[in-house]
Amino acid sequence: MKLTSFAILFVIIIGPFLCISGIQARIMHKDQELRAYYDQVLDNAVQDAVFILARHRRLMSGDGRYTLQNTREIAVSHLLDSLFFSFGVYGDETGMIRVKGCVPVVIFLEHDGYLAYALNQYEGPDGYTIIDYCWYPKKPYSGSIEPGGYYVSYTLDDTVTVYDVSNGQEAEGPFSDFAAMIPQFQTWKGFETARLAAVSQSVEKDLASHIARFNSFSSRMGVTHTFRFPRIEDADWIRALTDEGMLVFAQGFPVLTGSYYESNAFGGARILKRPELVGYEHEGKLTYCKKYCDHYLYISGLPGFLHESVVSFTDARDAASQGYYPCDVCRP
Amino acid sequence: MDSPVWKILGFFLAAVLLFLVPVMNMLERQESAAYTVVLAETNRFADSARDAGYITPNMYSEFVRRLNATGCIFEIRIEHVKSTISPVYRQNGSVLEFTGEYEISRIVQDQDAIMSVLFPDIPGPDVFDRARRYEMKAGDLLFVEVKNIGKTMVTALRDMILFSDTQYPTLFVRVGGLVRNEAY
Repeated sequence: MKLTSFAILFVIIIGPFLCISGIQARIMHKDQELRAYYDQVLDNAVQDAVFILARHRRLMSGDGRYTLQNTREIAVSHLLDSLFFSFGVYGDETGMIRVKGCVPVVIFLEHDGYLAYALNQYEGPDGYTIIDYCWYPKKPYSGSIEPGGYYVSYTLDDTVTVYDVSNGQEAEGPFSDFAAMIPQFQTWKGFETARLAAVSQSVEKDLASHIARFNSFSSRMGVTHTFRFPRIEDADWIRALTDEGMLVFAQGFPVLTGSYYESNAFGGARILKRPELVGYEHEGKLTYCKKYCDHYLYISGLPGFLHESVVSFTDARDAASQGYYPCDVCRP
Repeated sequence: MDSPVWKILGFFLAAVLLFLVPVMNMLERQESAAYTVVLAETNRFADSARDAGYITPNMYSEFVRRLNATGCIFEIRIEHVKSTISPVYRQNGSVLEFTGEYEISRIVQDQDAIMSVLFPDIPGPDVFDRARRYEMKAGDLLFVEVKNIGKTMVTALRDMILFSDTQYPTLFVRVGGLVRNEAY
């Protein structure tokens, strides 16, 4: 056999393999493009919806025409319309249901609790069973503290409501008021950990039940796969808990290869504007820092600290414009 | 091994390896570069229009010029969705009763309506004039869709080899969202 014949044989054998792996690589590439596109569409829709939410909240505080529920409804309709237009299915009933079928639940995280907008089954006025999205009542972020038998409702700031199971009494106030009763509340870090656990557990438990219910309806909406319970990272929760906002889950958009598409998007509405920074004077220097900065907590306990010099600011610009320097430890 | 079959096979493979494979490869790279450009430019155009709240003839021309630099022919569709919130009345006999509810209606302004403002048929004011600026309201939606018409080079070549006929666009980008500002 001559060398050229070997070369021909080689090409004949190796050719199909190269061809197949090339096709697979192209499918993978397109699949990634598609997933990135879905991510972009979803993020965009959520950001737009919370933008609308924040704008209407501001209008709400000005006059009485909007209620809290109005603003939520407007935000959800914007979210869905934005998704419909992104996929070019607005006005096409089947397409709209298909897209809606990929968004099993929308959660509104508000100051004192959360609401879900999800599928439910109910009896309509004519006696027919209707399966449609509806609003679930607001639920508090709650958790029980085991050793003392307390039941605590958290909020998005430091205020908590503590219910004492043993004597049935309820009290509300900043967490530091309950430091004597609940050992976790003695430090801010301990409180944050307890709050994060309570919020994520109560929302996740609720989500699991919504998604289980959704799975029993979804085949009728053209969705053929079973929704898995979404995984939310701790970092996402910490981000979510700084402000009111919307948490949206999307699963099951068609993909080319690999596992099902699943994603969650969080949009913070920046509605709460609470003073987060404190300014103080220490050893002749004006400094501003985060409210729970370690350095600040340390020096405020020192004997020579000027407690009357402490002021609070809503943002860094506010503080700097009054002559305060940023803290080197917490870098506000 | 000197039989004519082997020779024909050898020539055939040589033709494929020397000509088709490198050309295919090069055209595929070219198409993926074109996709990157289209994606980036469409995003840039849509985002600047959404942030400003208007489209000027210059913005549009620049967008088209940058797309044309890829060497493909594109169809651009701009969709402006006007949102209006109106009250809902119910007819009760001969009187209209206010139901206390409202509904959001969305009206799509298509390409022609936008183009007739940007580039009017009758020669009018110059490109910097405000009359030739297509303005949108904050809260409206704007979507820009770009797809190639005809076949790209690589699709044409692949169709030739595989005896197929690709009808769908191979470059397709659709971006957009809420108009956030009214900076006019």
